[in-house]
Amino acid sequence: MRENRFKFLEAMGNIDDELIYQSCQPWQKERGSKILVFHPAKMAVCAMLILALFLTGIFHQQVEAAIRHFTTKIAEIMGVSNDLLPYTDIIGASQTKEGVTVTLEEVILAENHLYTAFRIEWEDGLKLGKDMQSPDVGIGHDTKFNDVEITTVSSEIWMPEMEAGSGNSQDVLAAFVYNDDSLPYDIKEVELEVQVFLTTDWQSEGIPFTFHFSTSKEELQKDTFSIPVDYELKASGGAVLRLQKFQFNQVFSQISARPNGIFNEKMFEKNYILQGTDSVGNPLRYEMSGGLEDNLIFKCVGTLPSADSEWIELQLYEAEIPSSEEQEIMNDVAVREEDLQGGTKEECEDSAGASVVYNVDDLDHVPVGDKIRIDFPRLSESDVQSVVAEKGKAAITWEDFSAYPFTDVGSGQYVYEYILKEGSRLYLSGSSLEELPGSIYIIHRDGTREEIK
Amino acid sequence: MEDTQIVQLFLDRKEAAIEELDRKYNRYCFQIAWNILNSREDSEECVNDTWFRTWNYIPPKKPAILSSFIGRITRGLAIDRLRRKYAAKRVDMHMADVEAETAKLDDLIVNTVDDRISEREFYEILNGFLWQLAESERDIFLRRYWHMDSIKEISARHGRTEGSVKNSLYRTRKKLYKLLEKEGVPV
Repeated sequence: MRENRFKFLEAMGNIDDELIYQSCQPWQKERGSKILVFHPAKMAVCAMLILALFLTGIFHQQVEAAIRHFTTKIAEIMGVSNDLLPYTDIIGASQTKEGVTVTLEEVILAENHLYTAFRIEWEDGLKLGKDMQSPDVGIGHDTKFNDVEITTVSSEIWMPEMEAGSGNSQDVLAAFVYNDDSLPYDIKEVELEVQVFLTTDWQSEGIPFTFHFSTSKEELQKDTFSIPVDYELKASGGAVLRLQKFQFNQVFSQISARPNGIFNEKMFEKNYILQGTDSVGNPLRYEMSGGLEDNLIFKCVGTLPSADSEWIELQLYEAEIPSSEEQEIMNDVAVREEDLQGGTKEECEDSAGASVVYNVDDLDHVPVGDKIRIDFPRLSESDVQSVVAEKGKAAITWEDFSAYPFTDVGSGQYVYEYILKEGSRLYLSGSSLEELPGSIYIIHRDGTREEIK
Repeated sequence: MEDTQIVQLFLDRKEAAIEELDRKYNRYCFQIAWNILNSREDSEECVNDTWFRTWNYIPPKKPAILSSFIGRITRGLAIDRLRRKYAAKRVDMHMADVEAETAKLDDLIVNTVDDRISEREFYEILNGFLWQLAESERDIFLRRYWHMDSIKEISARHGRTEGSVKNSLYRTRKKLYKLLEKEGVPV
């Protein structure tokens, strides 16, 4: 037996109490305009102020780009002008405990993303912790689908500033991302827990609110483009990123990519983003938002590609991550006297400095490598007729339309659905991919069905 | 109950002290033990032993940060128990990885503390090193080598890839070696 085993780990047991205490806090990191993982329950007024400043910036930016007519609460909070109603399950379930009412208002499930919109309301005179303006909210890390816990890869929370006169209420949007293919296709029930904290004592138990609801990704799945791409992007120093899949719908867009070993190492020193435009001129930006070491996810922040777009062009950018000496973000934040609320400016900066790493938007990103273009292939009704004419109805295979994006909407049988340029849908269905499709038909926009086979 | 009130119960030798400590920190201490031992039974015993030891330590000790104080006790008990498991060849893969990562540091400490530098000096160096790290690197290091979190858990906590987390740990350990070498500690 190695005699010196665990000596270092034992020595680590005697480090400063404050170091241990800090490492027990939930981790809060701000990158650009998003807050990943919910903020810690114990939060000084000053840190809340800083978060509010960032949040104000987020929503101002998004609202500017959006038409101010929102069809759903989720769309309103995200500042998305697309009509999300077809994809939204309106839940409207409320629970009241200890003077707090939590209402789960809406849910959208798309691929491996779950979006939930809540409203928190509280009674007048509800006793809150020192310097708290509203209750804090925590969302359960793991969600249950069909009674099985599915681990969340990442989660994000938005808490927009409420308009004057909105009283004792706060909207909350929570988004969860799961590993690809970890969610069951046929979802009968989802169980999600929200915790409401009335104090800033991070070790206190929150008031739990558990919601059960059903939802389906079927509707949004139908309108989700999923395009395999195979582009190699070269960054500096031998770092290579191979783009693998592009996904896009009305709610989110993301690109998955495989990095080489050097890229994985460089991520410690550099920040990478993808920037460009779609064919209708919308600016696009994709930031790294997690994933595993052989499958990185870049998520679109801000404007999504237009549904009318025929392609997107992207360029890889990289920036040096500042060293610890350079991370003086909070010195740039002007703290007004009237916002100090009893604290000192130094206390605010210290407190905020403990919470913020650096702002991605402040980094100096430079382009590297070549620009790439991802075309959105769209099948048309005349394309289908050409294939039928060339091969004959009886000889059409599953591979004949494989150059175009499709969704398998079958449960049991294989049912490949293609969205055509004209707005109609082509279906190929059968019980085995090793045999020819048993049935081929088009459903036109007016609902009529055209049999091909 | 506030920590100061719990500590006062210990100082007043009230039995409710253990009850309140258990109510507030059972899950916290259990998690620390579990990360090391990966056994419910062993972890529960560690937690119970922690309460017993806390009763004996307070007074005369009066901890400033109670969670750190009892967390440290639980952690120490769990490592002792782990050492006994290793002696009985009941090896846990997760801790085997952590052990492999820190093997060089184990040897370093044995060869130098008391011989070259005092224990007090060593902790001054170690604490100073940890404080000067960038916040995320410090958190990653502590989550791995204080809390014994898995790489996957740390990756999820920070929204980084596992490769990036491993890289961060490797670089931080390397920086610590260099620092100790500079302070006159042979590597």
